[in-house]
Amino acid sequence: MILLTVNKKEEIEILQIALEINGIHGQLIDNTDGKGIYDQWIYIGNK
Amino acid sequence: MPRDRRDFFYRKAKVEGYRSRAAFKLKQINEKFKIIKKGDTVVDLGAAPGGWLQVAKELSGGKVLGVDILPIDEIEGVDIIKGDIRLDTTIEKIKEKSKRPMLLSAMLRPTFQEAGVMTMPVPLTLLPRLLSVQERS
Repeated sequence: MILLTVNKKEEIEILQIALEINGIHGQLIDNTDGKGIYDQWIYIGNK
Repeated sequence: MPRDRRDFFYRKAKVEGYRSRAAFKLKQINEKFKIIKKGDTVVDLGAAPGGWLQVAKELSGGKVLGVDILPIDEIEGVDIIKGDIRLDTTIEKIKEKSKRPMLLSAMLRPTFQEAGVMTMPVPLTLLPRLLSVQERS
């Protein structure tokens, strides 16, 4: 499993494509809310 | 993030003994998504100063390894590799110290410069090598 966090949706989308190419499949999660800290875009993937 | 919230988490980290406010980010993610479980082996790429390592150790209680080109002060029960994750020598050290770990990273991210130029701390072409730490040896 791999967990990545970034600040912006476009950042996580690029990572998702790069990971897909490398055989990692996962989901983007918009974890943004008023209580969050920062870097609330999340990628959770598995090979 | 608004400055008052930044300050709140900064102070909270100090009070609770975490090295960075990032600790609360990982805690919040894990409360929601239950990613790190007891006994998991966890590797944090770009781990300095070590806030995620502290939380990962609390959550898994298992093998936890932090990797960074920057120094990380010792954390009880956590292994640390000071090295550049772009180098094969560092990748080999990670493989030696962990078996099929869960990978965490908050630094594996593209950065957009002016004129649409994108840079990454780890070139995308090196991703396969980096991800190889999760393969069976």
